[in-house]
Amino acid sequence: MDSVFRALLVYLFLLVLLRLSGKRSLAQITTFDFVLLLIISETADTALLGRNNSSTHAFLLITTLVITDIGLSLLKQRFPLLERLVDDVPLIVVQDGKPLKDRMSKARVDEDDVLSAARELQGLERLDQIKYAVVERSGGISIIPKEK
Amino acid sequence: MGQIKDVRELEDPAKLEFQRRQWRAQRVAWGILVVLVLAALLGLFGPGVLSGVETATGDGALRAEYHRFVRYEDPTRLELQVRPTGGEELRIWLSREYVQGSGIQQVVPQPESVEAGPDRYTYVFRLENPSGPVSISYELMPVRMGRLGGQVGLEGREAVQVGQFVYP
Repeated sequence: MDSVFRALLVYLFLLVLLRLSGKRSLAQITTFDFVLLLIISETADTALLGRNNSSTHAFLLITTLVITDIGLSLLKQRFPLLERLVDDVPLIVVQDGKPLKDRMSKARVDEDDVLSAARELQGLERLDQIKYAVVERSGGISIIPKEK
Repeated sequence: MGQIKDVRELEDPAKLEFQRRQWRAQRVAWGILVVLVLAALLGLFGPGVLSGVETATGDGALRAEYHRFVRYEDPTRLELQVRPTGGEELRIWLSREYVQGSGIQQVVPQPESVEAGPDRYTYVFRLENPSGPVSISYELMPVRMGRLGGQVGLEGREAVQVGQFVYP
């Protein structure tokens, strides 16, 4: 009983916290984001395991986490609203080479981020070569180049 | 599986059939996992409703509460309710096999002394009120996996059986 509740609690807590922190928060943009992710996982480990050393407890935790995730993904398929709530929605931040400043600042993305993604993904040089830049649900930026 | 030289090879009926069987197997596995989680919620793998046991001696002088299903090195408790029968001293014994397997961490309240015998350990408590009921709690951390059994009793009286299963 305790194992299942612990797993559910941590799952729910992380889900809510990471959703509220915004999509760019842990998109592993910098080395520090990555380190922060490691620290969070270490801390969550304590919350999950507690003083408990038994393998049964560990197996139950893993099973509960996996089954909760599967269950949620099945529910998300059925209820689009839930999917938006849990997974966020993609957002266009550059349209026809023009940055949408308001959205960019809200999404905590700047021109440098967009250009960096444009260079890495498409080998583009300037903003005006971009047709669309989209902040995806994962927090990454995808680039659609203008046709030549 | 060999190398795929043409993406159309993926439409091979045998491969698709394999995929379909795999999906079916996964659905069945999810069902089993859900059952396992529900069983855990009910207490088949540790504390929970189905795990709680309350047992007492025929004369009601000693009542024991514990969990039937416990886990290796996972803290648990054996709670005793005692109705003393006169005398300032309360002597509770636990069978040796149980003491050795259950990994007693702490006894609350602390006994005045513990006497080790060949097949039992006797915990001696001093009572403030010789006629009032007393609760004594053994904090355990099982150190042996598998069946863990033994007896608990008031000296010179009937004993209760304690039977637990320790998951790895």
